[in-house]
Amino acid sequence: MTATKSSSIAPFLFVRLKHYYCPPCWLTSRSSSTLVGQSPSSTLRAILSEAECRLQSPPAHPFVRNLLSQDLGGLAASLRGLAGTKHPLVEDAKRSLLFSAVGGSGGLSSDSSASSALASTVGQTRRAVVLLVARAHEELLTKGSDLHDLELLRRRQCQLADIADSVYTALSIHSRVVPPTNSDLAKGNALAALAGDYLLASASLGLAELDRPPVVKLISEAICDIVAGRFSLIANAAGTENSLSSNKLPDLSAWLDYVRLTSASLLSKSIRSALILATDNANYNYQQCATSSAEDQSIEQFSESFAILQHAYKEKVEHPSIAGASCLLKRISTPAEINDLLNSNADQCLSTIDSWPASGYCTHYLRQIVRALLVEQRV
Amino acid sequence: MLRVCAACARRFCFGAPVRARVSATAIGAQDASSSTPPTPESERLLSELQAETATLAADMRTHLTPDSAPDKLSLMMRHHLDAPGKLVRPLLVLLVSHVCNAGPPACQRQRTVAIVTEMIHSASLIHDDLIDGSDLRRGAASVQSRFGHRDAVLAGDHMIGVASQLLAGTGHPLVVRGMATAISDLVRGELDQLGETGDLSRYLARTYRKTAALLAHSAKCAAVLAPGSSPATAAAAFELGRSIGMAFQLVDDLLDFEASDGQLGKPAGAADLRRGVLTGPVLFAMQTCPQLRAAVARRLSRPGDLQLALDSVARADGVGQTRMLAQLHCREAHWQLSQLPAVPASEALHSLIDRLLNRQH
Repeated sequence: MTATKSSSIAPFLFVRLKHYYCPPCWLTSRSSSTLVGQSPSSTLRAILSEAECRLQSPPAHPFVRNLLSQDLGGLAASLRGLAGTKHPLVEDAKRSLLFSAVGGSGGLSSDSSASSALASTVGQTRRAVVLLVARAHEELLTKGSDLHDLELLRRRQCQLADIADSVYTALSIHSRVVPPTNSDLAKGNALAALAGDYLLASASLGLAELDRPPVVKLISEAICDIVAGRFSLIANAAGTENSLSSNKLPDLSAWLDYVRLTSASLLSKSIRSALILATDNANYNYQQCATSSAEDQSIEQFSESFAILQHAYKEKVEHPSIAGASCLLKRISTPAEINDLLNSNADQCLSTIDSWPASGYCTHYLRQIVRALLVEQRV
Repeated sequence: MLRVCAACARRFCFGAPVRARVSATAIGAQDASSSTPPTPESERLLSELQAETATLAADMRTHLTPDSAPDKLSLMMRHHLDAPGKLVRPLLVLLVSHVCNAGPPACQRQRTVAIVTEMIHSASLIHDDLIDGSDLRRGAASVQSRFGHRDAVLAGDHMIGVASQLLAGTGHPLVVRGMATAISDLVRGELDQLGETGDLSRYLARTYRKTAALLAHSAKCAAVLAPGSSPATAAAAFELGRSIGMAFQLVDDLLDFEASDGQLGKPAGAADLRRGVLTGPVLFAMQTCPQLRAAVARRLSRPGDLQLALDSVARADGVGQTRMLAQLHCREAHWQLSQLPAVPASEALHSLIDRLLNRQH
């Protein structure tokens, strides 16, 4: 806590606070006071933690926690039994949301803290962006709503953000299925299929409970887009070892399509869904959407640009997911092209944020996140 | 075996409601068919609706292979849908729609529910084949064996995504919620198999989740979408679908012991048992055979354990007991159907229930 003045009457009883931070934010604000000299991912994480504090959103990843709960104890035990096998799910567990969300590896990895923190940052970023954009539009869309309605709305938007995370995690897990050349891999495949199915089913049920068919439609479209992206040249190349020889490298437009399908689609549809939830319940018409086509287009553009920044960040910072490969973007573009790509997309994000309702901390944190992603990637 | 519910005082036999005060032996000695034979009109309606399911299958193929889909994904969809199976689920939804509509045919939204039901079922088959390591499905190569395991899983996800979009298009939150619950139950049923314990009540719960839940919820959705629907109609349709689903799966499990490889279109000859999946015939036999319980506890790992299991099932008439239970569920289905409007489609549905019970493949 930062105290600026103490009362002369009873200094040990009363301290006036100019700026109040809750304890976690105070701790992170001390480390985020300057960008210089900080490790990149810790800066982004600090910004995200501050944003979450301001949003006062409940803890994330309930579906993943349920996956490893006692209720599905058979699956949890079976997943832990994969330790020591060569299945990609084990490698993924070292950095995946699946295990970072429950605060431990459960015996599946020995050095997971840094990479699982990265993976949680990626999901955390998407969640924060969805909630910040929704909160920025809240006053415009919920005129006249009382506090109780606003709290209910914010809870539902958090549920939506969790659903989006669950969808992404499920499809990522499903992408880890490999040719079963031995019984361990076959067992790992079965568990990957079941774990992903559980998360997808939980997401479906969560979507249904929001009672908004247009939201179901949007997120379902995102599922199909992510699946289509996983069939792309880039996803297939990433699935085999030593496959990125120079004559097989995809071009930048293929990379952009891949990012659009696997990341931008879910982000834009989650944002649009969050805004739909903000529509006045009493006047709700299932055929209407909360946003006009122009607003939808600006959300799509923002999401594409943001996804490019985020995906480039993820490629640069995470461990290589395939043998012999490193940051794909660096291998298919020159440094100048990459800088141009990052700068132009960061500018696009910032100009879209400027066009949204100015809402103080929401647009402030959105700008900080974009700048943090940009600064950390310049080559 | 026979229990009375403390809350509603209904009688149950292994989880199946017992409508009449009859002994288990008497039930086993009877064929649980409807009291009147099918009429020409109901047979004609049944044929018309079976033809309509072929149209629904074509619509399903169109939804699953849009121009925007990757070529390989469309190829996988066509391969899987080229062998469409019996299309029992959409047929049941169409029949329930006719009944709940009190005569008129299924509306567009009810047809959508029929398509979605078959889509969800198809997606579950693709994932089941991967989980079970099956190379054959409906007499052809399974999707995973032909196109690869990772792409097979994603193909199933694509089906679920398209199904969810179609459900959202009905604009009815109860329909969306019902089918989402069915998907969730389906997945939970597969998860239940991980912790196989040889317990009969768990088997019945798993059977509900894996098979009956989808039919129950889709029948209920068809009822909800009918003009002038009521909670009572929806509840009766749910129980009707549930009972049909339970009977269907129980018969499927007993046919696994009786049929040869060619009839089922998938590996047979106690295939479930060979994979370590305990179904009705084995579970009933385990109740009276301690040697079988011991063999199951060691996962049939000793030479001769499989033959011991097959002999125990034969001695205990595990197949017969499973058939008896299926008959109880069919009786329940007939009774629930009698609570719905009596129209020509009702007779067709009574007839279909009997055919499902007495089928050989």
